[in-house]
Amino acid sequence: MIVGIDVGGTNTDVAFLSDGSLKTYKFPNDIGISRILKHISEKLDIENAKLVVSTSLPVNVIASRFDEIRTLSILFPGPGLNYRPYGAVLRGYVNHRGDLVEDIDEMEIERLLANSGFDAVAISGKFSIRNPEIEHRAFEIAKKYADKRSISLSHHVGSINYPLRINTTVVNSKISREIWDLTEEIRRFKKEFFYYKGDGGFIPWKIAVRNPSELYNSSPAAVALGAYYLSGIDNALVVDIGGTTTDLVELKNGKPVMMLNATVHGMRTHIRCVKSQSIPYGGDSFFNGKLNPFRKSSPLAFGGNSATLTDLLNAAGNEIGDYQKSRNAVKRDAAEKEIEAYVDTIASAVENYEPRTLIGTGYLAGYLLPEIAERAGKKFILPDHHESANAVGVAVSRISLTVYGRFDTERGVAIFNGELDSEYVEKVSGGMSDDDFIYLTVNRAREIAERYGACGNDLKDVDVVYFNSFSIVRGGIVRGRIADVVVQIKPGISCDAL
Amino acid sequence: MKTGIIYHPKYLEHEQSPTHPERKERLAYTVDQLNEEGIFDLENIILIEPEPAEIDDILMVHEESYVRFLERESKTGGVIDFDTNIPVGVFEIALLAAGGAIRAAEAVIRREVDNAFAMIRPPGHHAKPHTGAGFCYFNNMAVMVKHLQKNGVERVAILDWDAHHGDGTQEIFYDDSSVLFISTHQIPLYPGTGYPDEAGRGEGEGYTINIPVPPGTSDEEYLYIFDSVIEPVLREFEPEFIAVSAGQDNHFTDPITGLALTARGYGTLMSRIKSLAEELCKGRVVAVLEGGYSVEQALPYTNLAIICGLAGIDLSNIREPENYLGELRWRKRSYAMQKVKDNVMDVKKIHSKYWNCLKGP
Repeated sequence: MIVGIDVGGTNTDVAFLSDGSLKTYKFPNDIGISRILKHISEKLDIENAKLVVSTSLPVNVIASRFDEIRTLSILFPGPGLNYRPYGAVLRGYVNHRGDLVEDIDEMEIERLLANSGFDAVAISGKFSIRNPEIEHRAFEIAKKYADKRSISLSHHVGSINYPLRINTTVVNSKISREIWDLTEEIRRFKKEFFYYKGDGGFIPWKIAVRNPSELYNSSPAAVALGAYYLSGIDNALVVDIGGTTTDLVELKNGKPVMMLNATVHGMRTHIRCVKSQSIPYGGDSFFNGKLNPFRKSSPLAFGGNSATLTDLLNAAGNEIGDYQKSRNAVKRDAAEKEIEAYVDTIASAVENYEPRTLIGTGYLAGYLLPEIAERAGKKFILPDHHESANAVGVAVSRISLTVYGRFDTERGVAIFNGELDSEYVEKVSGGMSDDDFIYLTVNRAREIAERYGACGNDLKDVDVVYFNSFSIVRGGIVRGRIADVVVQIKPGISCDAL
Repeated sequence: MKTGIIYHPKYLEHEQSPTHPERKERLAYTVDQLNEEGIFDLENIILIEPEPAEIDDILMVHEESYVRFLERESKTGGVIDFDTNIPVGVFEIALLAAGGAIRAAEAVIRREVDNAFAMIRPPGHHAKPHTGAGFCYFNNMAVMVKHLQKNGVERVAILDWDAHHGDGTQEIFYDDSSVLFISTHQIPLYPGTGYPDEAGRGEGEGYTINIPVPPGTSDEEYLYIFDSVIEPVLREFEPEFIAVSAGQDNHFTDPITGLALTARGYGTLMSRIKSLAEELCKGRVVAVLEGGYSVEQALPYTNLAIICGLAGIDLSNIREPENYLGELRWRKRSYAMQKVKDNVMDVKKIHSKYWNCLKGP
């Protein structure tokens, strides 16, 4: 059995998938994840289920507290460009081969930490993905001055491109603490669980806490996968009408359209996630004569103390929750005018997308999508369980890992990093071929996924995303080979759900 | 202000043999460094993918019989000279290298970018009209200059600072007064030419300037040559376009030469040329990669330095890792400055009848 949970801006959706039957539930966020998990564990045997959690926590922390959380960015850039604008530049350098060619000065690191005020620490060494030694040593020192749950290391981000890795590590450092708190709360109910990523796959929590920016935008990813699973339509625009926002995600050939190097709080990062457009109006948008792009409370119809878009729908003749409360507070004329304005806003955004079909998801889609579709000149579909398509998406997806392998047979070293439970530095022999490099990296990805219970068929789809190799020559003799391999178990619908 | 980098992944495919000094690691490590530095993310850096050169462009420099020979031998593999094989498929990659130089010049002329670095392989400056030589097949620099002239740019200055004399380029423009060819290079070293008295012929007399330097020559001597010869002559020539054969085998770790230039030195020279181009020819300058064989210890840092110099990026942290600096102390020679001054005197003696700026003491 699989349990998928999506903690959104307003509601938490839960989907159970067991032997092909699907059940979905919706809880207001105010209840808290602990009580929701307690509730679930009373109903079913959660110990023997696979639990996957999608959370908008990274998006929320970045939106509301980014500048408030002070990060000390410690850099080991060595020679090259000037990185002073990115943080404190300290001694120490690993070159492109992964050789330590300038050692760190431990006292310098101590002094910096002792004399700075900060809430989180980001440690980034150039080429640390080739040899993380400097970052590990700096981490040992930083632990004396900061909670280790607030320290992020850049080699866990995995990808080459130092400035982007620094930015991503800074983002990680700011959200790390909150993700750890959530993780510990969930682990009280279930020791091993998974987090849903912004690219539509999921990873073990142990991997997620080291690079939590991967969870960025996971809710739109979940909605897109859920909408695809529920509707079976390959090319469509998913219109997700949530409590706080209305999100648009495009499906192309059954996959959400992706965005590389997402910009977060003005900084380009290594974050790879679904491309989504978020319009700041949803069912809980505050109404005071006109609709406002923010939430003040739940709708009157659900016990809140101010009118919202949901109440407007009731005033216009629908029967959602305690609809009389809505009708007492809002006049029909005013309601219809503002609903019209909302529909116009969404329809004009929808018109910019190519797909001719809209898939509606979220609680209010049934009430609003028909008009949006008509206004935009599109067809629409509202599949069963569309109210909780996000949680369905979480439940039906597969484990997806990206593994970076770097081989240097002259040094006799292989280093694997990326989405691994720890990075692996291993000895390799001199006589390896290009096929061997690829085979080893693909196998490493499969082993980890299998260890976490991935179903065998999901592991067939391993992509070699990047490969490059060349010989190392010294003194006119071939001394070895260097190879870079990036492989990915692709995100998608799990064979368990088919 | 924008700088173009012309590069194609196919430049990594050319290999004479895995142990040849001019091998694919030369660019592989550099591309690694540039990717890690995030160079291609910078707003003022434009990555441009080249097309192969047209045969007509090649034929403006090379004899048809040689071009056909290379095309034929490239199908089966062959040999040009002791250190220049013809590996299978080199013809296409050599066309792509020449095309890279052409594309760089076009990007600058059309103002897509202000200046550009053609990060190409195989190199070209030893290739002569009738043959390839010294790791070179087509003379990329000469093909580019001829292409520029065909498109209305008349006066071009070539500065060749590769450690080896650019004998191929010199021969091609030896009697041409529209192209000023200035070369600094180590003597003694392959190919054994490039003495100050090789000064051009006929119409081209005075338009070839050779400034040899001794082993051990470092940043200070190069800057002295810039101050005393290169910059004054370029000002007097008033080029419409400056092209640099930017070899990187002058670095103090290069295994097949004996010079002692540093990464910062390369960055400084490039930024001096950029400023001069802005003063003289609307900033139009293209650097073309030639040699450079210290694949691990120099090229990642020197290529970065050249790009930073062209793009006006802060050079303050451009340097080699500290533990390579022992080599610099071995290479640098205290007598180099005196020898360079003597050589500059010889150059002035020969060229003062052609250039006003070289008259006097």
